[in-house]
Amino acid sequence: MSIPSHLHQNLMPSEVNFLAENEMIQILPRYSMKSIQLIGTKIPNLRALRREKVPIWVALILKSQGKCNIVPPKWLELGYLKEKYDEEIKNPFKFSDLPWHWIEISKMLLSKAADDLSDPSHQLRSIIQDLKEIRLVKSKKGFTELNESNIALTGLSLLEINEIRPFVLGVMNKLREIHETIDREGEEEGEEEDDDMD
Amino acid sequence: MEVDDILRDFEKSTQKDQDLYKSLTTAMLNERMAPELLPYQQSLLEDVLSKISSQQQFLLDSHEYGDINIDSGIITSDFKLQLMIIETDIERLNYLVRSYLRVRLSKIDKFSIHYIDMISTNRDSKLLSFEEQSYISRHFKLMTDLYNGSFLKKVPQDLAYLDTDSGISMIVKPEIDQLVFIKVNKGDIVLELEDDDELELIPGGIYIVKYSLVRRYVDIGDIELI
Repeated sequence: MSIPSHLHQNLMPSEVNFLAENEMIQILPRYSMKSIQLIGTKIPNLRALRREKVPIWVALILKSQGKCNIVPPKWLELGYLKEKYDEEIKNPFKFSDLPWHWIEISKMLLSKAADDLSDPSHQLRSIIQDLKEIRLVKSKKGFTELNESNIALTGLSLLEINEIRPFVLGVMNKLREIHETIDREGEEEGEEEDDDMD
Repeated sequence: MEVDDILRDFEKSTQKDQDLYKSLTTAMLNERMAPELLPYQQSLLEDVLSKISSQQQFLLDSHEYGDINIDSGIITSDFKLQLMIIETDIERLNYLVRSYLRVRLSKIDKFSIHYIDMISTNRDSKLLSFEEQSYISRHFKLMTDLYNGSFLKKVPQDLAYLDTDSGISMIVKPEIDQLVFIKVNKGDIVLELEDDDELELIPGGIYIVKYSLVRRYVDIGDIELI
């Protein structure tokens, strides 16, 4: 098998993480380093204490070697996340606007660059957990609305989508199949009636 | 003035490189999530593969350079770190390419008769790469030989067809009505649903819709599958 069937039309969490690592992040280099031309991107000349943007995976390598500090993104901060949490509570039918990879990035930074974050990591972890839970409850509540044709989920991040994907698509595809049979039966019945008329 | 031009060119080429990464990721995700085979991204893949091999050559040369100068003190830990980053970059792209090709192969395996029919009616279609075309016909021949040799010759003749000859279609086709998750890149897209309903898609929005409704937007890049 060229690809395991459970991965078709689905991603592994590690793959979602991989995609998140391509996002850019600001770093504060501690040493100088010459620029590197990569295929996907270019790492600029690094000079000590001058902020530069690099992909997260590069930032994590440099960080693990003690070559830089990571400047946490502005949303990874207690006040901001609390605000989002309140927003989630206030609007029971809407997801608040969070970055596409917020769970993955915050997890990476919390585990590998906790000393660079502006707030104590246990507090951040707990607010992130709260946010995750309230959003999951919301999307689960939405499961009662599942139908056969379409649904809007604006605001969900990729990891959250990936989490609910197998269930949601399974149910919706089944509903669609049922719906199609009803349609077809309806048409056939209609035709039969026409025959009777003749 | 000239320096400015050079700088501008340089900016442009970095911009293009970043797009390369992005387009490859999008191509991989689209292919992964679409129920049917999408047109092969010929130019993109050529570009990526040639860049990977030239970067690998650079890496080899640098290692050689490092080995020769190992005692001279030129080689710093920085140099090794840089090589490691370059190597990681290559591996990451390799992974994307592999993942893209593998999901295509799995669809080719699954719907081989369907796609053989398609390329035989439309010879210059961009659906399959050259390698994939030779793969699909070889795979098909092996499978039919196996089926015929192991059991099809023992079942009644009118049940032994693999195609539509018996009047019943035995061809497995991709189900294009399947539901997919989409992310909207550009606005002003209105999908027409059944029963004369309409669904207006807002930019940045995330929806679940039938693949058949959005396939042409996926093709031009206004919608991404996720």
